[in-house]
Amino acid sequence: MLRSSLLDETSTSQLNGPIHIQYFVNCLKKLPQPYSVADTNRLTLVHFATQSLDILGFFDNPQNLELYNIDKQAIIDWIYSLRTTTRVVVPRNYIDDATDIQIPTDDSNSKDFDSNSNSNLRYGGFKGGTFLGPTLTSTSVSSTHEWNKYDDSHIAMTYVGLCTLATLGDDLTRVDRESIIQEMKDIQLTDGSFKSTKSGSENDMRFVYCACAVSHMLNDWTGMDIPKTLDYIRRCRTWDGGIGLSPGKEGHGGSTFCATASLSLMGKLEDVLEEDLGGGGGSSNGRVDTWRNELIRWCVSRQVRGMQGRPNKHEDTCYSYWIGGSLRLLGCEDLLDLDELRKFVLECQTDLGGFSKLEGGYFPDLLHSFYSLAWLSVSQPPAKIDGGGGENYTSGDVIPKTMAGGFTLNP
Amino acid sequence: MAADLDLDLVFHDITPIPQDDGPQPVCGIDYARSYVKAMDYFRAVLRKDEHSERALDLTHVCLVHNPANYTTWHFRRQILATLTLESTATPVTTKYNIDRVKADLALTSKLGGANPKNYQIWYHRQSLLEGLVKNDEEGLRCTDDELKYTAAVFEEDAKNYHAWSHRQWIVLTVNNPTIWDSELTYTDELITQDVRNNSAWNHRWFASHRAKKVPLLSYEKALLEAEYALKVAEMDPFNESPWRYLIGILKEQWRRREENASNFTELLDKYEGSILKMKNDMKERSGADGCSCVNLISAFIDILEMKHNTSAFEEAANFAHHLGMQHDPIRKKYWLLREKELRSRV
Repeated sequence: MLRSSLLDETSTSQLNGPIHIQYFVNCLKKLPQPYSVADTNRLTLVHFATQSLDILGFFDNPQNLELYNIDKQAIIDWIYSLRTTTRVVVPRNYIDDATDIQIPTDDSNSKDFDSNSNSNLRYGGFKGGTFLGPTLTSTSVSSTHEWNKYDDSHIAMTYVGLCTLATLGDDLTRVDRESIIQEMKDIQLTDGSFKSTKSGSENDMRFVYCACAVSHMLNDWTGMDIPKTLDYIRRCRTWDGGIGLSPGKEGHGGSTFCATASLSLMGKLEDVLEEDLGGGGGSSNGRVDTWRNELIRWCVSRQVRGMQGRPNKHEDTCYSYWIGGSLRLLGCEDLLDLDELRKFVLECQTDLGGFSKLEGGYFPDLLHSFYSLAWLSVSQPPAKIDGGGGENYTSGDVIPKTMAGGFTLNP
Repeated sequence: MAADLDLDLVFHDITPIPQDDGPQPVCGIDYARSYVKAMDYFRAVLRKDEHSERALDLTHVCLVHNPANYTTWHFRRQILATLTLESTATPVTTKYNIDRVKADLALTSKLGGANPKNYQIWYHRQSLLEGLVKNDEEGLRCTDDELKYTAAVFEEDAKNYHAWSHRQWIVLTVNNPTIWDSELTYTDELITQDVRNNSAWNHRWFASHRAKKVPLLSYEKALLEAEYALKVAEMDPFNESPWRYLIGILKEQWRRREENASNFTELLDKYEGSILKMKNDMKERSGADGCSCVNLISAFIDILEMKHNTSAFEEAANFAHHLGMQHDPIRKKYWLLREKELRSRV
C-alpha cells in the first residue's frame, strides 16, 4: 500500500487517493467506447484497475466494497468464466496459421486428464474477454459446453488473470495448472521466444515475460525450455547495452523490463547479466566486462526528469515502472534521481483521476494509471520499523507483490 | 464496399449471437451499436465456421471497428486460405492467391494508417507476405514494395518500432548483399534527416552486421563505421546515439582484440585523440564547455576504460566525478559510483 508519509517527505505534489479510487471503480463498472479496441484485452484492464485499487489500499478497508458497490466474488467469477480449459472434442482440420500444420484431433502428446474419456483435450489458461460467445461459468467444466474452436487462451490474459485472482484473495484452486503448463509448451517457439496463442501471433519478449510470470505463480517451470528462453534473451542484447523486443531490435524500456523480470523470475539474473562479454578486466581489477554494467548505464541514461523509453524519445510515466523496475531488480534503482522521477509521475495525475502518459492536459488511461501507481509503490523506501503500513514490502518482495499478487501455488 | 454492408440483408439466414458477458460483467465497454451488431453476426458466423465471401466481408466490417481483434484477423486468414484452395484459377503455389494478398495488403495499409502501432495489423501483413518476400525476381519486386511501404510509415513517424521490425524481417528474409548495402545507405538518409533518430542508428548496426551474420566487423569496416559515428557526433555532440554507436563499434573490437591487438590499440588511440580534440575545440566552436557535454565525456570515459591502464582509470574517474558533481546532476549517484569503481582499479 502506498504510504502518504512518503509523499509528504519527498514531493510537493500529493497523491490524490480518493479521486483515483473513484476512477478505477468507475472503470471496473464501465469503460467508454474508445476502449472497444481493447475488447480482446479486457482482462488486462480488470488487472490494471484491480491492482491499482489494491496499491491504493482500497481492499484493506472492507467498508469500501459496500461504499463503492464492488463485489469481489463477482469479479472472481467473471475471470473464471474466461477459462478456456476443459475436455472437448476438437473439430477436424483446425489449421494453425502460424505453422500451417493441421493439428491432429487424436493428439497423443496431449495429456489426457481423464483416461476414461474418449474426447480430446482442450487445454489452456484464460482468454481476455467474452467477445466470442457463451461464457463458461465459474463452476461449469463440462463436455457439453459448446466450445468455439477459435476460442484460444492468450498467455498475457493467463498472466493477468492469475495476478488479479490472487490480488482479490482467491486461492486459485479452480485454476487448471496442468492445462496452462501444457499449453505453454505449444506456444514456445524453437528460438526460445513465445507467441501468445496457439492459433498464432507475433512472438517476442512480452510473451516471454508472461510465460515466466505464469510459471512463477504456478510454481511450475516444466512448461518451458529454460535454456532456450535464456538464449533468446541473450540475443536481444543491443549494441548500446539495452534489450530489444526481439533480436536485432532497438533497446526499449518495455522489453528491458520484460527480459530483466524474466531473468529474475527464472533465478538467472546474475548468470546471464554477469557473463563475461570478453573485454577482460578480470577479477583482479574488480570489474569484468558485463552486460549488467552496460544495462545499468542504459537504464539510468533514460532519465530526463521522467523516464524515456528509448534514447532521444519523450518521457512517459509507464517507463518509470519498466525502467525503474528493471533497476530495482538489479538492486540499484537509487542510481536514478528518485525524487525528480516521483515529482514527474505525480504531475501526470489528472483531474479526472488516474494518470496520463505525460503532464499537460492529456486524458488518463488505465495502463499509465496502473504503471504510475505500481512504480510509486515499488519505489517506496523500506518502511521504518515504527512507521506502520509498510510491513508487507521488503526489497525482494515488491515486484512479486505488485505484479504477481505475492502469490505462488504451493506444490 | 465491404464496410457499408447491410448485415441484416446479407446474413438474413443467420441468427446473431449476442455477447454473453455473464451476470455481472467487469470492465464492460460502452460499445457502439453498429459494433455490437457486427460482432453478433461475427460470433454466429464463427460458430458456423463459414468460409465464404460474405464471411470475409463481415471480418472487414468488424476490423474497421476493432482492428486489434486477433481472432477476427485469424478467422480472416482461415477464410482466405479456404477461398484460395477452392479457387479454380491458376494452380495454387502459395497459401493465399496473389490477388487476395494484394487486396489484403491494401486493407492493412488502410487500417494501419490510423493504427500504426497495432501489432495485429503488422502480423497480418507479415502472414500475407510469407513465401512472397524472397530473393528472386518476383520476390524482389514484392520486397521493394514493402520497403517503400515502411519508408512511407517512417515519413509519418521515423521511429515506429513495428515498422522497423517489419523492415528488419523483410531484409533478413531476402538476405542478399545488395539489400544489406542499400539498407546501410538508407540508414544514412534517415540519420541525415534526424541525427537523433536512435531507431535509424539501430538499423545501421543491424545492416552493417547483417543481423548477426557478421559477428565482428573487419577492422576496415569498423573504422568506416566509427568515422561515420564521430562525424555525426560532431554535428551535435550532445546527441547520445552516435556516441553509443561509436562505443558499440569499439567495444566489439575490444572484446576480440587478441585477434588483432595492434590494430585495436591504433583504433582506440585514434578515437581517444579525436574525442579529446572535439572536447577542447567545443568552446571555440560553439561556446559550450566540452566537459559539460555529457555524452561526449561518457564516451571518453568508456574509451579510457578500454585502455586499461592506471593513468587511464584515474583520468576516467576524474571525468566521472565532474559529471556527477557538476555536469550531469540527475545521474549524480551513477557517476559517483562509476568514479568509485574506476578509482578502485587505480
